[in-house]
Amino acid sequence: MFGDFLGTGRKHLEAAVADGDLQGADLPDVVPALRRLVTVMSLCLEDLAPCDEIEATVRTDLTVWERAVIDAGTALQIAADCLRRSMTATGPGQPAGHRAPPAARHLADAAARLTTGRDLLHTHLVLDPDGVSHDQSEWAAAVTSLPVMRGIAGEVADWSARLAPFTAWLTGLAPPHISRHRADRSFALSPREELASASQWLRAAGAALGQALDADAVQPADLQLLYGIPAAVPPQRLPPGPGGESVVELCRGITVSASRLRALVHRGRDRAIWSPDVTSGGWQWMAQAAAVTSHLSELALRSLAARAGQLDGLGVTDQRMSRAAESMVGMREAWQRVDLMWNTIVTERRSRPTPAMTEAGDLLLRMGRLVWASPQWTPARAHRGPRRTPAALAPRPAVFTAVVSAAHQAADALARMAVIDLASVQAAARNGRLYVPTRSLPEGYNVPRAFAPALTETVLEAQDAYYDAVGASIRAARDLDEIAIAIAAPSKTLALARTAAAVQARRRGGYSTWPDEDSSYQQPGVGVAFKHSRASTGLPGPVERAVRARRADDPVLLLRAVAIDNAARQLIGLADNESALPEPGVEVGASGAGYSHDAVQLAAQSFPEGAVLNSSARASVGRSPGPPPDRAHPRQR
Amino acid sequence: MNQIKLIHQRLADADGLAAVLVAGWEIFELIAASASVSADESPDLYPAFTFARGAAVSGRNAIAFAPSVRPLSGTVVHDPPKPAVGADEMADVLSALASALSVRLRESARLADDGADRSACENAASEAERIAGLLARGIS
Repeated sequence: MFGDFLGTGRKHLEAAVADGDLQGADLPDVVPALRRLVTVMSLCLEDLAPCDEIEATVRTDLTVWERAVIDAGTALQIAADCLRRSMTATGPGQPAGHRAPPAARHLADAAARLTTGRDLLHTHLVLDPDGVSHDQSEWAAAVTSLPVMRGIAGEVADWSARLAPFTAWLTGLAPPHISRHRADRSFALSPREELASASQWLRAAGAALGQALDADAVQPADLQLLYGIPAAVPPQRLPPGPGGESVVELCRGITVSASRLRALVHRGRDRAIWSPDVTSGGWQWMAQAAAVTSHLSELALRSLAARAGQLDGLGVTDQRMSRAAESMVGMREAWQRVDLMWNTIVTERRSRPTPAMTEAGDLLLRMGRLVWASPQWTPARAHRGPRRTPAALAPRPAVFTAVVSAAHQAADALARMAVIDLASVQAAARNGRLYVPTRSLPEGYNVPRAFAPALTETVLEAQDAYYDAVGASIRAARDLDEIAIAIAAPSKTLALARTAAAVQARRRGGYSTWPDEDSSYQQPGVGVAFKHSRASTGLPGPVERAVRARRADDPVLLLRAVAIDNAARQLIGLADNESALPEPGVEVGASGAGYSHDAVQLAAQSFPEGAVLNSSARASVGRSPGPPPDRAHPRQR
Repeated sequence: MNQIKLIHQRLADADGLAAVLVAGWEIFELIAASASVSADESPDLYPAFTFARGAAVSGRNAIAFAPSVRPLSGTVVHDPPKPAVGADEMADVLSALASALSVRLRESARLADDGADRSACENAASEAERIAGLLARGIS
């Protein structure tokens, strides 16, 4: 975790500048190490800066912290340059094998730790050839959030404040002037002056950041989040073994599976939208795994609720634990509805095991073994065991927090999975990949096959079921967020990251990579927002839904409903732009072009899709009309 | 329970691949419906019934891939049996039904001429075995 490197680096820094170690300081050893450290500190701030110092002079939208990191980063770059010039003057470093004095070693170690920490943060983001940053993990939004910016900048401010007097002290060891000859030319260098300048620039960096600290101080939660950021490399899989695992080991295994599941879901999110390997069987299995895991989490949380009144100093009441258990009931019921929905919807391929299914399976198995006191527990009836008592589940407070963490990790990973599954199911619907058994169709359909393309109503029900699962999973995760923070459970970083990522997403004007109740995924199942329309998502908007709910099958009526939905979406888009844009004198050309483009799309749009339409009407629709009758039979691969 | 006995008998009487496939389809649907009802009856059997229902849906869908499966329009859709019996007893009954179905499907797979029929029967049999394994009583 980032905190491991930052904490060790800080210890080395403190040791380097401690009075006792300065006696052995030697400029050719110390200054290069100091320069490396200051350079890394400047790079850390450069990573946080939204633009360079030249662009910053004309920007009016920068926050106090953004401006501070730009100014302080520039100051640290200048300080590093001063140190480089002083190195030129103080001569080459010591030969290989020479043992550097403690101060130099500590500075070098501090620089190495900070570099490693910075590399860890970089694993969450990747730059494309155009220099545009892309999320590489679910933590990316948290890594680029204001709390993390405050945390890093606060650390750099502190380090700068410690290094400034140390560097000033080094000036006493440096000669005032040195003459150098190179290629028949003489240079007069002033190492003492360069070191003094470096010290001043370090103070300037601290002062620039100090202004931001005064205006918007670093919060303890900022540092907790910063220190808890892991590398974007999921841990190795821990397959559940046949032997017994202790409660703590089971919780650790659940955390590993949840981390791996989150990473798999994030990496596979683009693929899940189009891949034919994503099947109804896979979606149903995952929904079942989510429902069963929620059920097991509920049982575990009820045991913890019973135990909460017996353990001292937990920071959480039994009522609060019971509420969290209740939210797990809601989550299970929502996933159960998704599961049942897949009884009648199929894709053209049979299910195959996926890595995400493996991780969800490991997670479920360990959650079951937490609840049931049987080391061989599996979902099979033959492997049942007696229920673990509350005292055996949480014998002491540390184990109590570990079990809460495990349930929290599971809920968070499943919430993330729900968001991606919703998106991929919507994509499958748009691509005509969803079928239903012919026997489930209303009377009047004559399809000489076992399966037929899914009706619009069926697709909408599926979508609503997933919206409910997303909402219920996020609610359960947020309930556990609060408990995790209250009892300082290891998983509290998830809660902090969710909050930071949600704020960051709003600043970016996009979607959060961390599912949150406030995010745009949280759409009501029945009252669909107007931003969903045929022109945007390819699925019916609220007016078309209302018309269909009244069993209206007149194509003209449905077309009018589609047109109203699309027009409403456009109008809302206009209103959004109206409130977001107008800086006086700013051109609105791009947006204007967008409106006319939408108008062309609207004009070109034909009749809405749906089972009520005949094949000629279907053929005129711009997007995929679903398979023709001779393709209505699912293919086996 | 009568419904289960009747369908069990229909499977026993099924003559030929097509008849076994139709009986298999109905059995999988019945298991899915019954498991759904029984899942909420017992917290410790919830996982077993939930995954058994998923396997039943997969098994039914596997049968749909068989070229020999008869047109199914107009087939009676079973209402789930009311849980007059306990969850454990229901698990026993469904496990036995799934076990019998897997045997018939394996036999049919061996006798099938068409590769797609054979594959469908084997896939469906695997799902039936999964159901039987999930719901079978322990040795103790």
